[in-house]
Amino acid sequence: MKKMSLTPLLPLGAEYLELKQQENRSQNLSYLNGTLVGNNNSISGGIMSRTFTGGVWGLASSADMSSSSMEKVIKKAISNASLLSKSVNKGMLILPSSPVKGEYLFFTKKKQLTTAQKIDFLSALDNYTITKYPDLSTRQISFFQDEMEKYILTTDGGEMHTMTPRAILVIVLMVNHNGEPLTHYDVFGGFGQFEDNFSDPAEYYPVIDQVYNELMDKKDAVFARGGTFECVLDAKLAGILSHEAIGHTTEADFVINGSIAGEYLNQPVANDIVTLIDIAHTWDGKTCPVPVFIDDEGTKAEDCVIIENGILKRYMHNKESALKLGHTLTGNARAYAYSDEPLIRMRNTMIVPGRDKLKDMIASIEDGYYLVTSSNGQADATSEFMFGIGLGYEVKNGKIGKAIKETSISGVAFDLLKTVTMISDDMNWTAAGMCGKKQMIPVGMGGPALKCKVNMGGK
Amino acid sequence: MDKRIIMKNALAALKEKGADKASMWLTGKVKEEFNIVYKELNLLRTVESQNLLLVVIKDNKQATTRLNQFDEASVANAIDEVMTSVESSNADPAFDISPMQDPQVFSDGAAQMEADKIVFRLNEFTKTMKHDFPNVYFDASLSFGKYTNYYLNSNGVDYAETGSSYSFMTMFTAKVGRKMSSFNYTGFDIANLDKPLMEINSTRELMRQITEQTETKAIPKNFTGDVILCPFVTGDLLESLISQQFGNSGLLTNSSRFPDHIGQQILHSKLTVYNKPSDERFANKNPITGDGFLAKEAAIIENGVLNHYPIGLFTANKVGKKRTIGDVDNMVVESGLKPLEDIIKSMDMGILCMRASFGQPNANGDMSAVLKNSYYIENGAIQYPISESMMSLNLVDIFNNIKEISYETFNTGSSIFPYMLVGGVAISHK
Repeated sequence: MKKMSLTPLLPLGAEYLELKQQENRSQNLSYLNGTLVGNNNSISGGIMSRTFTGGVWGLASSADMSSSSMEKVIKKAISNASLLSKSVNKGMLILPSSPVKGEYLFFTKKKQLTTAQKIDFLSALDNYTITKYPDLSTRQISFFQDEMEKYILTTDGGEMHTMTPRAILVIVLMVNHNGEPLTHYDVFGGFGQFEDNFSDPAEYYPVIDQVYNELMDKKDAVFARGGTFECVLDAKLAGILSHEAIGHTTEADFVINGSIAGEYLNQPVANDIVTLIDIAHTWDGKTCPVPVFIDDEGTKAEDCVIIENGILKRYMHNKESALKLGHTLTGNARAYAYSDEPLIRMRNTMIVPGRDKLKDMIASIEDGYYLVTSSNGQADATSEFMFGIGLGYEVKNGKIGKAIKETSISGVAFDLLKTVTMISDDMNWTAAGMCGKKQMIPVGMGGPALKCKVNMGGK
Repeated sequence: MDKRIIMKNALAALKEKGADKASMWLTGKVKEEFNIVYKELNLLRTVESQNLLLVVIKDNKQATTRLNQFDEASVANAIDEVMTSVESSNADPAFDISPMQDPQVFSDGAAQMEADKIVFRLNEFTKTMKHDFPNVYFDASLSFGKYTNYYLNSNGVDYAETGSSYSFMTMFTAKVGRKMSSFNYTGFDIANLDKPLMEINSTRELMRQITEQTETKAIPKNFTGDVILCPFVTGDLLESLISQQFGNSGLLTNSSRFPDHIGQQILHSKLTVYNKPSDERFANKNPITGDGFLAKEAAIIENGVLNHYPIGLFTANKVGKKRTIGDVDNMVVESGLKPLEDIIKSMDMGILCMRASFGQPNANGDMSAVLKNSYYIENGAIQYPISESMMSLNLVDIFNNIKEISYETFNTGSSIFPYMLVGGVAISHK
C-alpha cells in the first residue's frame, strides 16, 4: 500500500477525529479432487474518517485513496455527526485517551514465492493424498492468506502503520462408508505469510496421515448420548471456549447491553485454577496469531486479564465503552474493512495452562468424552454457548473408546468454568478463526486441555 | 472514467494478452447507515464501495482477481497478475462462461434516500421500545443502499442492474434484576418506509416474547417428537439441506445422497420451494445469476419432487448435468393454510423453536442445535420458555416428516419462509 500523507489533512479543533487508509489483500488457492477450482487474488483498499461530536459519531469512507477524496470524506463525516446531533446531543463528552505511535509491518523476511510455487506445494500435498489414500471419495487441499495493512492517525495523538498477515492450510478428506459420506478436516498455519509457515510439503505428509486416520476412526463412530458428562476438552478446543463462552460476554458493549458478566465484576465466576486473558500481541515471549500493538482508535493495546484465579476482573473496551463505564482503555477497538467503524473485538483470547498431563486427565474420567476438535461456535449474552465437535471419543474407565459422530456441545460458561478441575500444562493456538459481530475479523484463540462438565448434544 | 468503458477496455486487454474467455462483474454501492447503540442514535456511516472481479479462462485453465482501484495502472496490474496466475492453474474443460444472450438493463427501488424518514422511523422504534418494552436492551440499524452492477463477458453478454432498498436489523435481550433472556435478533430489507418498523414481520411479537424469556424452565423430560421451526430456522435449515444435497457443494464433493434424482419424490409432498428472482414482494430482486445468466423463476422442489439442481455452470459441466436455474438467491417456500395458532392447538407435546444456534451439519445431514428463545408446548398450548435444551435431527429426515406448514410467513426482503411443524426431532435437556 502506498502510504498517504495524512498528517496535513488532520483537522484542528475537532473533539475527536480519526483518519484511516487501509488495504486488505487476500489469496486463495484451492484443489478439489485434483482440480485447482480456486486461484483467486483480491485487493480492497480505501479511506475512512470518523468523528465524535456531541456524543454521536459521524463516519464516511471512499475507495478513492487521494488527498482530495480524504478532504471530502472528512467533511462528510463531520456533517453526518452534525445531522445526528440534531436528534441526540449529549453535550461535549471527552473520550478517554491513551495514544501511542508505532509501525508494525510483518512482511516475510524470506524470499517471496510466486503463485506457481505455492500451487506446486499444494499439488504435492494433493498427489501424496490420492496416491496413498485412493479410497477417498473427495479431497480438498486449500490455502488462504490474508493481509491487513492500516495507516491510522487520530486527533488525540495516536498514529499507527501495521501490516498483519496470516497464512492457513486446510485439509478436508471425505470417504463414503455404508452409503453415507464421512468427512474430517484440520487447519494449519497461522501468523505470517506463506513463506513464514510453509516450505517443504513433506513436512505435512504426517499431518495428512493423521487427518486420514482420524477420518477412519469416524467409520465406527457412535452417537454421543445427550446430557451432561465429565469431559476432557483438548487444547484445540480451549480457544473456542475462551472466545465464545467467556470472551463475548465480557466485551464491554455486550456488558452495557445487559450481558450477565455485568453482574459479576470482582466476583468468582470460575474455579480458582482458571485464569483467562485476551492477549494483545505476545504470550510467553512469542508473537500471538493476531498481534495488536495499537488498536484502531490509536490506543496502546494491553493484555486484558478477564478472569484471574477464578475472579472476573476486567472487560474489554473501546473509547466509548470505557467512557460510559468509567474504566481504563484496553486497546480492543478493531475494524475489518476500510469503511468499517472500530468495534470491541477480541485479539488472542486464551486460558492460561495449568500443571496436569493430558493422559492423567483422560485416565480420571469414568464415563464421559474426550473432545478433540471443534468446528464453529456461538455465544449468548447469558454466557450460554454452543460449538460443534468435529472429532471426539468416548471415555470409559479412563480409557479412550470409540469415536463419536459429529455433534454440538453447550453450556452456561460461568457454570462450566466452576466445574473445571484439571488443566493441562500444554498450549495450543488456533489462528484461522473469523469472528462475526456485525463485521468479520481475524482472531486468535488458545489454551490448554480442560477437564470439566459439558452438555452433549446427542441421541 | 465511465465504468462500462473500464470494463470494455479490460476485456479487450485480456483478449489481447491471450485469454480464450473472460467475464467480469463491476459492482458499486453507496450506503447510508443510521445506527442505534445503547438505545440511542449513535452513528451515521456513509460507505462508498466498488469492486471489479475479473475471471479468465485460457487453455481450459481458470484464474480470478478482484480489485477496487480503477485507475489505469491498477487495472493493468490486475490484468497482468491474473494472466500470470492462469498459466499456473491446471486445465479442466468444465471451466466456461455464459453464452451470448441479449443485452438487458434492470432497474428497481427508490431513486433517493429519505433521510428524515429514516431518523423518524428509528426514533419511533426507540420510543416504542422504551415505552412498550422497557426491560429490553437493544441495538438497531436502518440503512439505505443504492447499487449499480454490470456483468460483461467475451461471448457478448452485457447486463446492467441498478437498485436500492432499506435494511433494518435489531438485536435485543431482556433483563429484570439479575435474570436475563438469551439475545434474539430480527431483520429485513424493505422497499420503502411506509410502515413502522415494529409492525413489519414479527418484530413486535419477538419483543413481547423476549420480555417473558427472563424466566425459563427445563422441559419435563427428554423426548423425540414434534418441533415447530420458526421462519428464520426453517429457512436456515432448508438452505443447508439444499446446499448440501442438491447444490454446488453437495454435487462437487460427492456428498449428496441424491446425485441423480431429478423427477423423483425425495422430500415430503407438502414441501414446495421456488426460486422467484423477480417476485414483487421482494425489496432485493436478483435478476442476474452469479455465472452470468438471466435468473429464472422455477419450482426447485415441487410437492417433494426434485425438479432442478440449483447449480452454477462450472458444477453442471463438472458433474455432467444440464445447468437449468443456477444459484438460488430468492427462495420462497409455499405457505400452508393453517395459522400458527391452530398448529400449536393440534400438538399434544412439542417445542416452538424461535431460534437455533448451530454449526455446519454433518455431510450426511445429521446435526444438533441449541434451542434459543424457544417454548415448551403441551395439550395444544404454549406452556413456558425453556432453558438449556438441544435438538438433534437429520436434515433429510425432518423435511420428509413435515406435518404442517403455516399460513403466516416472514419476508426477509429476498426470501419468504413459513413456520413448519416437523416430527422425529430428539429433544434433550442438559
